[in-house]
Amino acid sequence: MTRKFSVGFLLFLSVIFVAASAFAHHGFQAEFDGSRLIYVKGTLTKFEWENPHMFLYLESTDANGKVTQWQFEGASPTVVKRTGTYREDLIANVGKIITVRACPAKDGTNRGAAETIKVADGRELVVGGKRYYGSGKEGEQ
Amino acid sequence: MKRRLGVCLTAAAVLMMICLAPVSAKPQAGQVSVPGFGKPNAKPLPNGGPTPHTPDGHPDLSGVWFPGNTGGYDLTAEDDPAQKQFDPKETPEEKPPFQPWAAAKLKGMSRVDLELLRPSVNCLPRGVPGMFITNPYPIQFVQAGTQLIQLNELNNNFRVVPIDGRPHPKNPDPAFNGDAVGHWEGDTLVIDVIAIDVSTWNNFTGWFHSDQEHVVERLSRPSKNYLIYQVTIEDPKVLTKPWVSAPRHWSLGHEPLEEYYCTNNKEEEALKALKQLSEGSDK
Repeated sequence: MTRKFSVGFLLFLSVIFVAASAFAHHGFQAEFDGSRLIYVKGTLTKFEWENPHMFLYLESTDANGKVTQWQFEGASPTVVKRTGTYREDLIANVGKIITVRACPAKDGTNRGAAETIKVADGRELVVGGKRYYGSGKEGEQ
Repeated sequence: MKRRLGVCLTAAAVLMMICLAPVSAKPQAGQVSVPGFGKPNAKPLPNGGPTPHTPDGHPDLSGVWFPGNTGGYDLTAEDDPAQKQFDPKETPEEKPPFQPWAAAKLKGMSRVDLELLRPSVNCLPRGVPGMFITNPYPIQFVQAGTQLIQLNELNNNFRVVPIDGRPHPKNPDPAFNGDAVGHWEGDTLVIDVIAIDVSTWNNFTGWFHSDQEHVVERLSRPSKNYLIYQVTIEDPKVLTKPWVSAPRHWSLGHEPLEEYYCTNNKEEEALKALKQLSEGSDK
């Protein structure tokens, strides 16, 4: 194994963590993979506070300077509000680094169904319903 | 050089073990793994006292009603029994008794094709009984004498049901909410619905219906905080026999309905792209 590969691998892991599991069941999973969980850290560039789903847009930059644009789908703003996350919370974090917890899109595009976002002041805010239905079996791919 | 490479390899192996391990606490099926999120905080409402009545002596169904028992909706408690309309262990609900051709039709569809037929993909109204069975958003009843006005937050939808015992008109036009007429049987409001647009579904998983579907809804308010909804569905073209739902609980909320216009729907576009991808990969 070369040094370049090891360093590259470590840098990749510093951006995205993946937990894999064999079990998955949910209606939304035509589009998203509820057996996988990703955390994506980046700058919140904009959001859409509309129905039927709110959307978050993130820009992540890896150590090599490569920029990736992400789109995350959340729940309806009406239920997001009822769960305690408000439009003002998102306004306050545009331009700041957040970490999104989501299930990734099945088509390999940089999209996900978001459950929560960890924002600049350390709070974890709910932006979607439970999406990850992993079995919890450690190491299962 | 060799020592540095060894350190890098060890670090990579450790990081790989951390990354492939479940995050934080070990997730269990149906539970979100992040501590604090997914912790059910949904509590069923108490019955709240006796049923209110209108001046004519009937139960007053007026109020803002949320599906389930908590009088609200919390995304972190979606799987909490308190937020469910019924407990299948206590009041089991039979699966739809499809005729063989209908069952075969559903079985033969791909998941993406099925999703593309879902009314919500195009933000269509849920219809009847979808506005109760497949609706996670609150409704509001305004019971005004001989009319029951139902406002649905989802898609800013409404229906006005005459509840004076009149019959259906002859040959009503199909409508998403159907043609609905109601009458009282004791303390239960019975709403008879026909002519329901065939693009509506009766559940979340593709229960389609014919133009001959006949739906009978039963609404009661056993106490101040609870509304019970039970529905019977007959469909001689799709079902082998009538289907009766469990008694489904709705609970009294204390907040207004929100505006909900479907102005930013991206679902159909995303599903069609997925379908093209899967069709392309089959070639």
